Amino acid sequence: MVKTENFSYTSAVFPAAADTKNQVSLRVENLACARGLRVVFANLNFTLAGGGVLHVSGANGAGKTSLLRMICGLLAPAAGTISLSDSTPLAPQCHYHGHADGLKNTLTPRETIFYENRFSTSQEPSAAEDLLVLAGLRKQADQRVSTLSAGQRRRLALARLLAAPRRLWLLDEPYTALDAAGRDLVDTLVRRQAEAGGLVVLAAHEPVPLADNHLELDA
Amino acid sequence: MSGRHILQALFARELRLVLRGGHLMPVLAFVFICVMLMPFGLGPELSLLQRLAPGLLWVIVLMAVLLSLDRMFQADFEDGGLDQLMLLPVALEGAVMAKLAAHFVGILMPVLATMPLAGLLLNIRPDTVLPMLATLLAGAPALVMLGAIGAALAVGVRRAGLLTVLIVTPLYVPVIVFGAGALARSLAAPGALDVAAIAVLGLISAASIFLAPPAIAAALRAGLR
Repeated sequence: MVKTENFSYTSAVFPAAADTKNQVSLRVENLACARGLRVVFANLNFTLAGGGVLHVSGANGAGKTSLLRMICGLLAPAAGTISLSDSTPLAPQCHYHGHADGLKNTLTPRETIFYENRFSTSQEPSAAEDLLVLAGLRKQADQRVSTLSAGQRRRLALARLLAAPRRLWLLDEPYTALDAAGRDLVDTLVRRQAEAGGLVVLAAHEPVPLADNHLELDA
Repeated sequence: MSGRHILQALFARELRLVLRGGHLMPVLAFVFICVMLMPFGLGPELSLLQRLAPGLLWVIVLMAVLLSLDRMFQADFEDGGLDQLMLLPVALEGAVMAKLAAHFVGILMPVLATMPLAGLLLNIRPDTVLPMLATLLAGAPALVMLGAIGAALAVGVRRAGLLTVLIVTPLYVPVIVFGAGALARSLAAPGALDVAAIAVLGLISAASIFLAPPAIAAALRAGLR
């Protein structure tokens, strides 16, 4: 049985910076997360309009990662619903960039992007070469992922976001292990996604200037 | 890209990972060591070796499958690959099938290719090699699919190898009974094929190909949540 402490969050409608006509929005209603008997958060309501960037912050254990995993269906909510305004299934339209990057050590960055391109339903995925240049991995394109540094791995994982375009990006502490250029890469990618009318939910401890919306979860 | 193209790409990637990951050599080494040591353990009597060969070959293939499946989903679980697999724009059941097909082609086919040599080392007659291969081929898909159910159920559990073995061993009993039985009858009547037993094995394999992917997908979803 779940402990029924009532954590309450003000309902919010986050406006998008871009024109929201014909853009799909993300709707979260009465969402609750529980771990064992502990309620992590409850009564979470918000709507993120197309082209919007939502910065989620909060102390360790506040439920940032859980929220992101719930949105893409990797974690079941204790209560509540998450949906897109056009009622299409969420999971296949999500990119989840988590703590574990999902990269395969025996592939090269070029192969990683190559396969990610082929996992896309988009008719026009970005060219692998352009993405490697964007991620600053052109010199390392043909060496195995296992030989990359933590920051380079992070960049490669981020480059995958564009290799298979999807509507909703869920980025869990994307700035971790990145240098200044890497952080600029995150900002560039997020800005591109927002300008294209996509949605970004970004969990980070540090301020995110390009986010037009902010949600703070209580520990 | 359509769902079919995505699954083809996933199969190609998984096959590349299997071939590059160095998973095949330990399995082949295991098969080789088993086959080489059996005659020393059983003694120099060739007729005894020949009589035991069907059961030994099936058990060796079964153990090789279990050895190869040990980290099949565990590695994906640990490196975040399972999250990415779940978010592909195809059904998880299809993605699982693509992974298992790559595993079958990349690991089990080479193991099966060594079986004629293994059989000859266990003193089976050369004219029974083809019936032996037919029997193993008919039952091998069932070994992989049933083993994958155990591997998926144990995902997220540390040192899950033993747990996987405990889960799948009862499921393997019918396959071993029919497989070793068919092989024994083929060896008793050289050149003959026990069609009925092979058909039963094929049926078990076909059933497992249809029924295992939803079970594996459900186990993986439960393991992640």
